[in-house]
Order: sequence, then structure tokens, then C-alpha cells
Amino acid sequence: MEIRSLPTLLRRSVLIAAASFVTLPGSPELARAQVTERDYARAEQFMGWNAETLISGDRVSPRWLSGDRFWYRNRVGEGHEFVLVDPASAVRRPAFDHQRLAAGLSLAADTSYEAGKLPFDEFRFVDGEARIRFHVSDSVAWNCSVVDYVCMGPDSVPEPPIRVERPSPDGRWVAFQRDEDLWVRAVETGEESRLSEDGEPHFGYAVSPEACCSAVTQPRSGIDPATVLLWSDDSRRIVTHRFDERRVEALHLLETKTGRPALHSYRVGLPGDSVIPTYELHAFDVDARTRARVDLGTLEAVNTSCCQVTADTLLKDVRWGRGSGEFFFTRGTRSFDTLQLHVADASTGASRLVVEETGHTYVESNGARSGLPNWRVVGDNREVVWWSERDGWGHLYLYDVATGSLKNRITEGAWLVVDVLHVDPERRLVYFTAVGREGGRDRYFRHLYRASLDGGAVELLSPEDADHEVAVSPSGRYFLDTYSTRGTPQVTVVRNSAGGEVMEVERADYSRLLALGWNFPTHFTVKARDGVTELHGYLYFPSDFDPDARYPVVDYIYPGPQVGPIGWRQATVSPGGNGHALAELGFIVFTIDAMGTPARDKAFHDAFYGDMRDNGIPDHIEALRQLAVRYPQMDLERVGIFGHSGGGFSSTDAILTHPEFFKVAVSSAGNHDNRSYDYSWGEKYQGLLTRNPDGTDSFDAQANQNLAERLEGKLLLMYGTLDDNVHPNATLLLIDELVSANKDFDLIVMPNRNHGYANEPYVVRRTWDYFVSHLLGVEPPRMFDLKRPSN
Amino acid sequence: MKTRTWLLQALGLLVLAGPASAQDRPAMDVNRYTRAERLLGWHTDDLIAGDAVVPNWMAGGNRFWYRNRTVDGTDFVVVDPVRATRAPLFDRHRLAAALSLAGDTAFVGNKLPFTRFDFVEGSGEGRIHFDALKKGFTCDIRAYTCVVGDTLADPTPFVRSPDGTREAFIHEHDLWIRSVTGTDSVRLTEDGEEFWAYGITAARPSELVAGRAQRPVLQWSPDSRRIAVQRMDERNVGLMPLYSSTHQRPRLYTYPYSLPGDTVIPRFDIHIVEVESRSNVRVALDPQPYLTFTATGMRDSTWVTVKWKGGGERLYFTHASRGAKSITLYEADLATGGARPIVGDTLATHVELNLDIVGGAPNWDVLNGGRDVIWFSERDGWAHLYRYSGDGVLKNRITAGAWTVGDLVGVDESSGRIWFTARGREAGRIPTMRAFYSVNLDGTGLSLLGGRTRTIGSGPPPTDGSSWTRTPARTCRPCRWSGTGPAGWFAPWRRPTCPFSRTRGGPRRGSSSTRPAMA
Repeated sequence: MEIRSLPTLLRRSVLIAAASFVTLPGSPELARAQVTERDYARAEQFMGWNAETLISGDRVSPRWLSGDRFWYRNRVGEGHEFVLVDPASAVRRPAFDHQRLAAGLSLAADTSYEAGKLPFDEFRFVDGEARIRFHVSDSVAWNCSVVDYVCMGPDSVPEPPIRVERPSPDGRWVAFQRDEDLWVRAVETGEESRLSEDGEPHFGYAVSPEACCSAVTQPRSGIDPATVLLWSDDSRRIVTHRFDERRVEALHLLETKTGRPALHSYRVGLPGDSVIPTYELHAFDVDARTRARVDLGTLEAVNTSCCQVTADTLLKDVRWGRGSGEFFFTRGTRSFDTLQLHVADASTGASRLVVEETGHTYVESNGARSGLPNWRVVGDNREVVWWSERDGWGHLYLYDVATGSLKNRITEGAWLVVDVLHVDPERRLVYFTAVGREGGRDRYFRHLYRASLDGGAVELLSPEDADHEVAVSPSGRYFLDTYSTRGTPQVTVVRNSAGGEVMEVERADYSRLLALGWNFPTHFTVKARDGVTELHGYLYFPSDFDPDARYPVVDYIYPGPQVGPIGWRQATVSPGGNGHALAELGFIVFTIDAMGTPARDKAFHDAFYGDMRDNGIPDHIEALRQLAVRYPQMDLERVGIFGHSGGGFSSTDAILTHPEFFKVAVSSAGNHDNRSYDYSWGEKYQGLLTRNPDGTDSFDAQANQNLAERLEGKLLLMYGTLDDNVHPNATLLLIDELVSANKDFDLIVMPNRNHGYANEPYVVRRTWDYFVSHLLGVEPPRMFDLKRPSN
Repeated sequence: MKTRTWLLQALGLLVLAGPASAQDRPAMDVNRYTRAERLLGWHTDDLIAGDAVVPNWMAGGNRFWYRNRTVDGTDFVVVDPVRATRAPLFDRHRLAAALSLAGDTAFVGNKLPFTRFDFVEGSGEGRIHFDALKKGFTCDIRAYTCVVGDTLADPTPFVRSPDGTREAFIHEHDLWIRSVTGTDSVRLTEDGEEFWAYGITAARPSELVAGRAQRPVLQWSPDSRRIAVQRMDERNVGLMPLYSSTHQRPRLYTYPYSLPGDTVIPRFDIHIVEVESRSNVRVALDPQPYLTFTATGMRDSTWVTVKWKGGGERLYFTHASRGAKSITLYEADLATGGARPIVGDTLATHVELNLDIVGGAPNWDVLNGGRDVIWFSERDGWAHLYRYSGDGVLKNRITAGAWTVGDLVGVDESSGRIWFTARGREAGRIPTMRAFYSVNLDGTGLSLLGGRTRTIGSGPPPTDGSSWTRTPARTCRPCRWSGTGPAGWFAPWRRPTCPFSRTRGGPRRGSSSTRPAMA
């Protein structure tokens, strides 16, 4: 037996230790030798839910009143205030005396309320604005005078929300759905009348489809389903759908509880299903109690704009013309390659095709984010403003309703109309936001424009070099414009219809947050995989960034195609992926709107049509390589990626298809196989499912589980057991194949969570730990207690 | 000096690396995994031989055949205890040749493609039938010829009558019989319904996924005149949901599954169905709960909750309470369904009929035309056998002491002697090891059987109690190596050591012996 001396043994063990150390990624220049509780606590401060308490004046969400006035809840100091704005007189003042209201409410409720922390977010003026009514909880409402500040209540008179009981424009009626039939109630007498007689389960009038994405969540949360109908402007008629899910098959979820789990079943069409939800359109005359069914019969339920799935399709796809004689509606097809605009006679149901738009991939009525269709009926139903990407860019066209012929283009060029906001038929002007038109500016910045319906010059109404989030007043005379960039705080102004600034409403203050070391992200542009196309994104650096150190990189991905990971370029403390906080642990965090995401030309948006496996990942890799030249601190030997939902799908895709580049992935709620997700998603972007004689199909290539054997890096999967948007099945399929392929992976199951757990503190903390452990290569603080303020 | 500097540099690097993370931990030697893997049962199984003798008893006497694991594969052995012979059942290589010819495939004699077979009736054990490669084969094991025929139907859902003429089965919730040729089906019950069927329960997901049939829960009377059948009432039992994962739509399964505190649990009745008259008599007791973890229900495809006696003239059965707090033995009146209690136990915790609650059969029996009843009870704190009269009067203890009776293995009514296994009686032995005993019904003449250290496995009793199979137990048996494994392959293997534990003594809490009131 060989006898070794102690020094020899020691030297050998050091050799081994040193050798293994050298193989650690990016070893000698480790940015962090350890990550401490203090690092986590600093990162926690930069979570949006904490950072937002340190800014003010950033958000103006108007609640419109008569005369184009509005109120909003303003973040200020340690709390909130309610502000009332009257653009006509350019006056901005408190909506009421907060001190006196707090005192009056405290007295009535025998509690102590502070003026800056009133116990409600929303209120409603009643009695000619002499009083306000608000809820302090779901069932407790107060009614307070804003004259003498005496509060009455509390009462718990149930007030079904407007989305459930739809009031007529003249206020005489509410329309609602009961037992699958359409009903109206006369507000004055309370008398109820049933307008339809033949509603039946899963084939009802005005019902919300079960379908995607909250069929289990809503009832569990006590939320009544929305009533789906539209009143005509003159309150005479209602158009609604009769939605048919009778033969649509169900998905099932199990609610974990002591004893026997509860079964939740809901109907969802999946790609390739022979039966998908369909609907008929019906118009009801409220006084005459007559009805007419649109003569097109059964229509396929599909989403006709960028974003929503089927749930509220009808509310978007139907518009009354002036009066109640005619209504207009779009008709999509399951193949998504055709979108038609029809006009129907509300008394007979006779319909006529006005515009037919076709394309090779998918046709939409709005390409980006808001999802509100961009077609408008003009004047006396004789013209229609129509949005189309037929020339490669989303533009407006004017059609003649009677002939169905194109009268003229309204907009043109290498830029994109985002949202039509208002049409002024008298002056023949259309007001809209658009991106990419202003040279030398960030192509993702929205600006407000107007243009003549008859074509010609486009007029810029919001001059500042920033992204403009614009809301239009009810009369169309004023535009509330919040502008900012990812690097400059919000300024909110009221503009007149010529773009002139009427008044400044708010100017956001980030100073308290900036004082903590919080930084705005760094914008970049790079070239896409094709070497030509310009891509935009942001980098997040730690507040103690050391230019001489090297940092692992974490990519926060959302592939779209309906939205990208970044969104509009307003300043935010809560970006997708919580980049500010994650970077603080010692990472450079990267987000990019890769090819396939919206707000660009149609070809860009269609980049991976029929090949969802792509997910824009080649652009991510190309971008990171270009950025690493600019920022040598980025260590591309240590790249991680994470995302939720579509980001869960694509982050796992990335680590499977490019294991040499992505070393760590955290994938939550992933639609890892789009055959497990709503038909109106996969069939739109992958194309209709076609089956081959050998048992394969046209969706095999996009399924993550089919690449399970390629896993090399560290993968953390998560799913919620009550995810009624992306069913757990998608993750379970992947797990099954990972087990078959003998692959290591990690898994967190979130019991009874639906789709919305991505920002639960536990999930955020475990995501941090995973990247700290496996990308930074150090031990995270043990079970750091990340907290989220309750409000 | 040079070494030292280098060493310091290396240490410096280590400090820089900070606290030990997962990557810094020393690596496990993969060879240890490889060695551990070799010790998993599915590998070690291939390296032992002659370890399991599961007898298949043959007609006429006490002969049996078994499939023996050999060094190179398997062979089929027939044993005749009367003549003390042990021989191959057939020439396995000649059978392989015949099988290869018929199946147009190459088979080798030491790895024949079947594990079980049936003797073809009327062939005088000259022909066997078995399924292999999804085909049915019939082979003459004297002439060594094989023909390919139909595959054997899955016998699971069909319970053959003792006279071999008919088989009972369940169709659409009701009990049916037909001839063994599969013709002349007759429906015997009329009122079966979903979740309240005769003989079977609602299909469980595992059965549906595997396409596995249920064995009907029934027992033919020895004279083939009657069938005792369980009718399980699962109506209104809470349903347990599960879903499977598929690459498209997950499939939902729901099935009755009762939980603690449920108001409705599965309960069954015993029905006595007469084949000729088709009369259907329900045993007139409240439906009893189904007890998963008690030695009742099905054992080796046999319903052991009931026992026919007197050639089919008498039927005995146990009736349990929820939670197995009490179990009582009854005799049923075949004509009226009336139930007469004989003996029972009530304990504060739970009553057992065999301490092996998963595999054991209930340790009660009725002998001598109903005059003697053997009853198993833990009433004095240890599991023992008692002898009662047919009307429930305790005649005598059969066994007593600080040890436990395992399985009642055999009874010889003519000699009044019974055979059983027990644990913990022999001083100096591991108390969890079974030993094999016989004793007279009156409790006298207890004697230890078998070799000094040999443990005795369980097999179905022979017809007259005259001979036994002995199988080494699966654990704690001496290492025996037959043949040669790969050289050095097993060098590190050592005999497992057995924990030597004592049970807590004393009578069981709340124990009481009950003699049920006459119904």
C-alpha cells in the first residue's frame, strides 16, 4: 500500500479544488463572491411594489364627468389624493376636501381614517356631484356629502357592475343575462322582461364564453361573468350573440384542499379540435320585443385583433351605426387569413359584405397592445375608416359602405397606426396614435396625430420626443396626454384638438427613488439575426455597477407575437421581469423586442409565423453578442433566461435549442406545447393543425417536450394547479419527457394558483435564488423572506 | 518553496470563490453509483437461482409444478412429495425446438417465452397451452410438437364453477353465467346498476389506463349450485378526480373514493344466487363497509370474506364495522338470507383477522360439520387462535403466549390437527421470523415443524395436509449462491443484518371478547 505524506495529500486536494474552481464560469473576475441578505434587501427595495411608493404623479387614469371634466387618483407623498380637472377652464383642484371627508367618514364609521389614505380607490358622484358613493370593501358602501361632509351608511345594497348589468345610454334600461336568456329591466319601475326565450346551457344569449382564460378563476373569486351585448345609441335596440359551446370539449383542473380535491371543468377549444366555439348575432328591439338574427348563421369565434382571446370578442367586433337601424360587425375565420366587415339591418338581420381583408398569415384589426379594433363607422353610416396591414404597414383607409369600394387611403408610409382615438365627422378628421413616423426618434414612441379622412397631410399633435399615452375626452375636444420615456419621468398635460397644451396636470417625481440608487434602464439598439433589421431593448445594471468586473446576464423574454416583453416606452418602476431588482443581485438584465413582436411592420410581426419554436431566440443571441462588444462587462459564458406564460414556453425553448448559449432557465406557466392551449392562439400563429398519415402533425415542431433530450443547463419549471389560462398539462408533458430522457430539472408547483402568480414574492425569490446559485455560482441567503406590501 | 507559493496562490483563489456552493462540493465517485445500481433487486434477481418455489398444484394427489430460476434462465420442475421425486416437467430444449418451428422464431430452452401455462383438459397432462408473442400455443410435451392457435382469453373476468362446466361473470352491472365454451349466457340478477353492481366496482383510473379487467368478487359453492356474490354500493360516494397528460387534451377520470369523515362510504351486501332457480337472496344485515386494510376481500383472485362449507350447504362470512372496530363471524341461511352470529371481537383500535393486512387470508375456519369454529383474535394482546362451538361458545384456546400466530395454513379434520405459522415463540430467534407449527384443536400437542433454522414460506395448502413446500423467505435468509456470476462482480456484497426488535407486551387496549347476541 502506498503511504502518502500529509503535504502531498493537501497539495492534491488543493489541486483538485483549484481545478474545479477554474472551470467555474467566468471565474477570476467574479463580480460577486457572495450574495448577502443585504443584497437581497436592496433588490427588494427595487421591486415595483416598493419602488412605486417612492414616486408620485406618474399616473393619471381619467374618470370622465360631464363637460369633459375628469377626476383621477394621484399618487402623492405617502398616500393618494383625488384630483378633479376641468379642461374647459384649465382648473385642477382636489375632487373634495380630503381632511373633511376623512373626518366625516371616521365619525360615521367610528374608525380613524387619514386624508392621504382614504379607504377607497374608486368613487362615483351622485346627487349632482353633491355626494360621493364608494365601497370600502366588496359589501360595504358609504355615501358622503362633499358639501357638509356628513356620511351616510354603511349600506350593502348590491350594485352589479356595469359589465354585468349593462345600462342603456338613456339610462332607462339595464340589460342582463339570466339563465342563458337576454333580459331587460326598466330602471324606473323595476319591471323585468325576457327578450329571448330559447337560451340553453352552453348556447345562451349575451353569455360570457367559458373558453380561455378565467372560467375557474372568476367563480372562485366571486366575479360574475360579463354580459356581452351592445346598446344602440338611441337605446332602442340591443345586439348580442348567442354563443354556442355545447359540443366544445372540456378541460379539467383540481383544486387542492383537505380531503377530496374539487374538480373544475370548463370548455376550451384546442388546436385541431373538430368543434370550436361559434356564435350567432341577434338584434333585439326593446320596446317592440322583436328580434332578428343576422342571416350569416353560425360564425366562428376568433380573436380579430392583436391581443384578447375569444372572451370579449363580440364587444369589440360589433359597432352600431348612427341610430339603431344598422350595425356593423367584423367576421373572422378560424384560419385567420380573412377578416370581413359586414353591415346588418337591425330589423331584418339582412347583412351585406362591406370590406374583405385577406392575408397570408393572420389578419388583424389592430396590431398592437390595446386590442381595440381600429375601424370606425363615420357620419351617417356611409363611410368606414378601416385599418389594414395590406401594404406591409398598419394604415387607415376610407371605404364607401354602399359600394364597398375604397375611397382613399388616409395614412401611408413606413410607420404604423396604433390606435384610432376619435373621428370628427364634421371636420372630417381622424385622431390616432402612431409609431415610427418621426425620424430620429425612438421608433416605439407613440405620438398623437390627426389626418383628414380624405387623405393628405398627417399632423403631429404631441411634439415632445417621448412616448405619448393619450386618452380622448368624451366630446373629442380634449386629449389627456401622459408622456415619458424609459429614462424620463411622466408629464401629463391636457391638449386641445389642435395639439395645443391647455394645461399641465401632473409632473412625476422620482427623486426619492433615484436617491436610493435606483436607475432608469439603458436603451440600446442592435441588428437582428438578418444583420439589417433594427431591434430595440433595455439593459438593467446594478446600482453598484463596477465597470471593471464581469457580470452574468439574465434575459427576460416574452416572445409575443401579440405583445413583447417591454411594452410601450413609458417610464415604469414595474417592468416585466423586475429588471431593476434582479440586476441588483449582481446581474445585467436584458430585455428585447425581438422579431415576431408587434408595433412594427407586418413582416416583422410575422417573423416566425408557422414556426413558433423560433420565439425570436436567434435575435436574443445576436443582440447579446453585439452588446457584449459594447459592454465587455457582460459575460456571455453565463447567460440565463426566464419568463412566464409565453415567456415560460420560450425560455425553456431557448435552453433546449441553444444549450451552448443559455445555461440557466426559469420557466413558469409555460404553454410548452400550444396544442394544449386555446385554439385561437396556436392556430393563429402556427397555422391550422394538420395531421400527417404517420401520426405527426404540424404542431410537433413547436412542442418543447419533443426536445427534452437536449437539456444540458439548469431548468426550473413552475406551474399553478388552477391555471385556467395555460393548463398545467403543458408543463406536465414536458416533465414526462424530461423524466424519460433522464434529465435533471427543478420544479415548483403552485397549488390553487391560476395564471397570475409570476410576481408572488415566493416565486420572485426562488427565481433570484436560482440565478444566484447557478449563474452567479454562489449560495443565496437562506430562505430570504421577500415581502410584498398588502396595498 | 516553489510548491508552497503555488499552494498559497491556490488558497487565495479559494478564498475569492467565497462560500462553498453546490458546484464546489467534492464529486461523488460515479463508481459508487454503479456499484449501488448493481445491488438493485432487478439486477441481483438475475444472479440468484432456486430462490422461489411457487407451487401450481396438479390434479390427483399432491404433485405440483413450479417455474424455477436457474443460473442460465428458467426451467419448469414437477415435484411429487409422495414419491419424493423432483424432475423437469418436460425437456425444455426439445420444447424450445418445437416452439421455434411452430412460431417461426428462435427460442432457447432456458428462456422459454412463457411463465405460466394450463394443461389441456383431457390430455392427461400431455399437452399444455400458453400465450407467447401475442399468440396462443398448444404443445405436446411428450411428442414435442406445437401448434399455433388462438390466444387465451383473459381469464380474469370469468370465475369457473368447481364442476368445470360454467363460468360466472359480470355484464352491465349484473351477474351472469355461461358455459365454459362461452355460449348459453344466462343473466342471474336483474337490478344491478352503475355504482351498485354485482361483483365489481366502478372502474378505477389505473384499470382504465391499463385496460385491466376486474376479477368478480364472488365464490361458487363447491357443488356449483350457488354463487355468493358481493354487491358493492358506491352510490353517492364522493368522487375523486384525476386527469392524465396527453399531447393535446388531458383526459378526466373520476371514481368513488371515500375519505375519513365521509358520510357515505362504500358498503356491500352479500347475495346468494341459486343458479338453476335464479333466486337471489340478500343476506339480511346492514351493508358492511369495505375495508381496504383488513384481511378481507380478494386474496389471489379469491373472495375470502365468505366460506362455503358442507359441500355448499352452509355459508359463513364476516361482517365488519366502519374502521374495523368490530368483526363478527356469521352463518347465513341460504333460503332466507337470515344471518346468525357466531363469534366476534370488538377492540378499541381495530380488529384483525390476520396481521398481514395486505396479503394474508382471514384466519378463521369452520370444521366438523359446523361444530367447531377456529377464530383468530388479539383480545389478550397477542394474536392467537381460539376454538368455539358452532353456536358461539368458547371451547378452548388453541394457542397462547407472548407470540403471534401468522397464517392458519391447514386443517385436518379427521385428526383434529391444524398447521399454522407463528412469530416470536422460539427463544433466541429473530422474533419477526416465521416458524411452522402444528397443534391439536384442543390446544394440546403444539410442535415446531421444519428444520432448525429453516424458515417456511407460505403456499396454498395441499389437499390433505400431508406435505408442504418450503421456500426461503425473501429477507434474512442465508446467502446461497447457485452457479457463478461474473467474476468479482459481487465481491462487496454482504449478507444483510436483521434488526432484532421486540414488540411492546401487554394486552391490547380495550380488548374484549364478545359473544354476539343471537339474532
